[in-house]
Amino acid sequence: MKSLLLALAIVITAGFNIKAAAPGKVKVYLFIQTQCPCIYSHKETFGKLLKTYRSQVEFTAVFSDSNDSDKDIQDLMGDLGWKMPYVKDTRHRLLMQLHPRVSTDVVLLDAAGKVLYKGAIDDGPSNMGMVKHFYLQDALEACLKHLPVPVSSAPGRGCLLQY
Amino acid sequence: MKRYKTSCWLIILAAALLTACYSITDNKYAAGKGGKIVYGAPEAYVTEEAIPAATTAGPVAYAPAIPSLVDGDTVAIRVDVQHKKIAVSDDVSFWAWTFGDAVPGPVLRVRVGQTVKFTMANRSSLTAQVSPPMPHSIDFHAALVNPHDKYRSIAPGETLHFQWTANYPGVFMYHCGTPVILQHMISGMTGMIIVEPADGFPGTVNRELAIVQNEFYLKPMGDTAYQTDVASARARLPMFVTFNGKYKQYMQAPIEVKAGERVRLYVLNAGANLTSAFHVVGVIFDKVWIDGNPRNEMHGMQTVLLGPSSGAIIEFTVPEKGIYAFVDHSFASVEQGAIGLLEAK
Repeated sequence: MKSLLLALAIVITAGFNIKAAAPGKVKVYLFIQTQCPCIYSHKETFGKLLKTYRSQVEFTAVFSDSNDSDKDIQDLMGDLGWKMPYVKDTRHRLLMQLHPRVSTDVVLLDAAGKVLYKGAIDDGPSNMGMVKHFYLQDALEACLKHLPVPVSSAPGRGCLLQY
Repeated sequence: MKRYKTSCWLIILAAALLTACYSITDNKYAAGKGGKIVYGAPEAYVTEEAIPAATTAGPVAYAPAIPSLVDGDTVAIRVDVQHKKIAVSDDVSFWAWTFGDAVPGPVLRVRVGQTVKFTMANRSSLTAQVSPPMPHSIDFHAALVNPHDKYRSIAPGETLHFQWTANYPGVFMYHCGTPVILQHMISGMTGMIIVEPADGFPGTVNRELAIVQNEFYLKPMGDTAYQTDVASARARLPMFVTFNGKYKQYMQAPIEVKAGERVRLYVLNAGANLTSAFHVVGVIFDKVWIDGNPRNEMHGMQTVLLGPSSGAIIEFTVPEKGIYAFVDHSFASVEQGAIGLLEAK
């Protein structure tokens, strides 16, 4: 049963591409690399966002490093305990379109595809793990209530994305 | 009556002598600058400046060597971060994250009361083709400072500057404190700093050696290439346990000493996870300073237990000509590389 589910997940994610994102839904792209440990600083906080908002928001992990294999990606996602689709952006289409800076950056787009927030998930890595500003969560809350996002960008801490 | 008076005077004299001796010892190893602990330091700052050719500067050396002390109230030390391919054994190498181009990082040496003016550039972007450029930091266990400020992570290309004053003598660890700390540590970002008492360590020795024990958690990528394996680190299942970063490096190239010599070992267990039971076959440690502080003196020890990040100074006399093995007496670690030889000629 486990193997069947894994096979299904692989088939689903392999067939996933950037255009496949459902139209008219709020989207969050998370830029990430399998060789960069920085994402673990957000394991709990981002995991909580996934659980809380997955019915209203489409979360997608974006891997732009051509060295990231499907196995490495699935191992990382499994280790993080996150259930979310991913895309391999090896041609840097999303990278060039959204211009994230580091591998933990997120980009929040409204249903019309307008960028509402770009940058850090939260500021935990800058405060020895204590989160003082839940940037993405605050932006999501505002977006879903059709209010202006309180902060439109915040610098992320992560590995430099190579363009 | 006369005998009674004499006895009283003798007792008073003995008590006075004992007190005086204790006071001398107490002052000799006093902590802080001029006996006063220095708390905190000016705020750290970050620059984006040209990076020099050398990755280190100041009183640094690579274990087992010990650097010379620098005179003066302040000591400038530079240790840059660089990603570099490191060989752990003849047929195992991996892309390490290093302090000063080596695993473990260089041994640093300062004196109680000195203010360390520390500089660290993050050069991880120089090897972007093989290892992602990432934030790094440094955490000195020898310092009394606000870690949120001084031990901040800096981005690739940035240079961190901060200072701290050495208050306590000892053998201390430094390591990268950027999350995930476990991964940064098992990738090689650990090292030893020796803080001497203001008047030097007591006693004279013929030879001083630095031994840093650490674990390597690796998984194969093909041929001799390996990469760090966080899963085995979490499970505390190392592939290697080494002294000074290489598998059994002192077995075919023993460290030379002489029979009758007095040897002082500066030992640090950099971990990341296991406890070391440090032992030298054929000798008894007649003097051990736990964490390298002469106030923590113990005698006649066969083995010194060092938890991750613990240090010690160990002294013994080489009994006679021969070959003396130093080991982590947790013998699984010996099989994994934690054994070396001292050859006394």
